[in-house]
Amino acid sequence: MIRVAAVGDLHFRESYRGGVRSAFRTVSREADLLLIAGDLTGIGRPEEAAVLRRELSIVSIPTVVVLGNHDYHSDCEEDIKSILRDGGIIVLDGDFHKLDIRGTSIGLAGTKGFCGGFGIRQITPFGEIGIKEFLGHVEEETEKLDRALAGLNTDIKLVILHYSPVIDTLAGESPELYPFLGCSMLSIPVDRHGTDLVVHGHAHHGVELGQTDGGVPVRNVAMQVLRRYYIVYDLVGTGG
Amino acid sequence: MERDALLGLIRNRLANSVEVGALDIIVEIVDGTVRLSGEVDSRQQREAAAGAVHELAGVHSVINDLVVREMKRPDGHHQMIISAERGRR
Repeated sequence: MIRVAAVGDLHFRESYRGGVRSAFRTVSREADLLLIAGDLTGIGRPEEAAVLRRELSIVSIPTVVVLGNHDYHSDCEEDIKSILRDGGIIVLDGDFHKLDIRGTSIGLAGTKGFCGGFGIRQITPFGEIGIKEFLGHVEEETEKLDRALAGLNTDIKLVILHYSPVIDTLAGESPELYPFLGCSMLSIPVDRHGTDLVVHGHAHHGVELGQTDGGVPVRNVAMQVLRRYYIVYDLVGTGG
Repeated sequence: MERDALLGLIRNRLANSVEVGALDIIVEIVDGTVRLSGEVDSRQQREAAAGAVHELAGVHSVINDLVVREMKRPDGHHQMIISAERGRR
C-alpha cells in the first residue's frame, strides 16, 4: 500500500508563518509522499514562496507540487519554481518524476492545466483570436500532460493538476464558473495512458470525489473542500 | 460611481491585496454600503479584507460578515483507493 497525502490551494501568505509548519508536523509519519495541487501562494509573490519553503522544510517525505493561477498572478512563476526547488520540493510543469517506495515504482506527472469547460459545452476554437488563444493554452497544457504521462512506465501513475479535468468535482460551485474551473480536455491523456489517481484543486466550493469517463479516480483536494490541511489516500493493491 | 464599476473595483482590490488575495469573497453593495461574506483562511485575512474595501472611494460603510474557515485536524484521516486496475480498463 502506498500512502499519498494531498492538498491544494494553501494560498500561503507571510502572515501565516508557523501555521503550515504546525499543520504538516505529522504528515511524514502518515504518508509516503505529499502532493500539493497548486495555489501554494496568495498572490504569487516570491516572498510568500520563500516563507512557505521554510515552513515545508518540516516535511521529510518527497513533496511534489504544481503551480496554480494564484502562483502566476505576479508574473514571478519562474522565481517561485526556483525557490521551491532550492528547498528540495519537486515542481512539475509538464514533466514527470519517478520514485521508488518499498519496491513499488511511482510515476508522477503534473502540470497546471487551464480553463475551457466540459463535455459538449467545452470551448470551441471559433471566432476571435482571443478565443483561439484561450483554447490554445488548455491545448498546450493537455499536450504537456500527455508528454509527461508518456514518459512513465511505473507500477503506479499519479497525476497532479490545479484545474479540474472533470465536472464531477465542481458540484456546489456556481454553474457560471464551471468553464473557468477546468476543462475535460485534460482528462484525455489521463484515460489514454492509464492513471491510478488524479488530484486537483482550484474549485473551493466543489466536492472531493469524481472520476474520468475512463473510470480514473479524481479527487478535488482544495483545502477549502477538505477542511483540513491534507488528506491521505491509501492506494491499495499497489504492492509496496 | 456606478454600482457595477465599484463592484469591479472592490473585487480587484480583494484579489490583489497582499493580505487578502481572494477571488471568492462575496461582495454585495446597497447604497454605498458593502457587505462581504463567505469564508476566509484567517482572522487577519478577514480584517484585511474589510480594511482594503473601506478605503475605496464610493464606499460609505462595510458590513463584514466574512467567517474564518474552521479546519479539522489533518492527521488520522485516510481514504482507501483500489489501484492497480489499469490493465483491466
